[in-house]
Amino acid sequence: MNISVAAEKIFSIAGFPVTNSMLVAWIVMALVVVLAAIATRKVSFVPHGLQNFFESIFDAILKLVDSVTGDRKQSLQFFPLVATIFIFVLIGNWLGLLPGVGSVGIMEEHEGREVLVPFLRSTAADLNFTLALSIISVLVVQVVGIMSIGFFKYMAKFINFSSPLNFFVGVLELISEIAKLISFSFRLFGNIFAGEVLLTVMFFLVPYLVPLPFMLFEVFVGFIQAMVFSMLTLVFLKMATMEAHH
Amino acid sequence: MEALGKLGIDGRLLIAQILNFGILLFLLHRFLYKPLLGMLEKRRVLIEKSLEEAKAIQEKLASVEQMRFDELQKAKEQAAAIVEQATKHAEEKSVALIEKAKNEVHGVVQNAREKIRMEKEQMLTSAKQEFSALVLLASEQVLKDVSDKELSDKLREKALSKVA
Repeated sequence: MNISVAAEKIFSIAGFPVTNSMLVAWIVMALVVVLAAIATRKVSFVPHGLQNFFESIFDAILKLVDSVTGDRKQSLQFFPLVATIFIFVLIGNWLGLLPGVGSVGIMEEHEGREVLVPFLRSTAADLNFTLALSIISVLVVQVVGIMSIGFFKYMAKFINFSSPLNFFVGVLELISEIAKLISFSFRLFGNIFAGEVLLTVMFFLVPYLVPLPFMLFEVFVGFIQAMVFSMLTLVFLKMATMEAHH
Repeated sequence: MEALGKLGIDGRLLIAQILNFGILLFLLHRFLYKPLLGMLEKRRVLIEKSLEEAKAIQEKLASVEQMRFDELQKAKEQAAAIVEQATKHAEEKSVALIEKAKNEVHGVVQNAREKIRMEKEQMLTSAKQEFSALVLLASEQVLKDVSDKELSDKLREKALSKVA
């Protein structure tokens, strides 16, 4: 049994290390884009099949976004980012639960031990993926904040000399923005990585039946984490568009 | 930095994942969100329009119903008025007819009475004349032999005056 915190390198293209998580990220992208292309090949007024499937999901997401923004126009602006995060994270999490992911690979000599290097690994079980999403989320929040209430007003949230208390609050806000990066990335990584470890250990100890409830639980966790990441991004986006009140 | 490396964080991978997300966002926005959200919006607008139209139709229906009701009411009132007028007219006519009939009957009766009375008078007159002639003749016959011209005249006179 081998547990690695970092995603393992499978091969490299011109010096670029392709890890197993990166591979799954590409698979997820290809899968989603192909499904999207099929769903929207001919968009009909009366939806059928995949179009209907995506529409019902989008309708639900849009309603959820509406409940946070309270404004359909703003919801439509935030929707692409929120929905993409949700889809990317969710499909990555669920693909990681498929049989063969994390268990099929090649044996490699590593620090004097034979270890299994799996070909595939959950996208979110790699900090690069979760940190990348966090950086995008936090950056977009800053950009949206500046664009909606103006550069100086937005900066006044962080750097404020109107009173010692406000200055202190500003510093805290600044720290919290950085803390968001860490909490975003480690929450998702921690949950999914822990789930993988849990399942690996369970399968190692009792291969049959017993891991099944844990498997179901991981399906649930995968959904919840995707939901949490996208909803938090949405809430931060909404908060950034509101002016600071003192 | 070493700690980050141990956690598997690699700048190249990080940038690659950011690019991955960017590409996915672009592709999904282009091929999934835009067409489907556009369709959702189009459908929403259509449904809104249909609902409005349905409401308008319903209102129109209600107004037509009201109009029909009013029209019916008016017709009913008119019919009632016509019937009433006709009844009144008929009554008047019947009263007039009865009156006329009564008058006619009265006239006929009056005429008959008059006629009867006149006939009676005529009969009486002719009876008187006949009777007086008879008396004259009888007294002439009785008093022919008495031949007292004077007495006879006196008697005749008296008899006549009594008869008359």
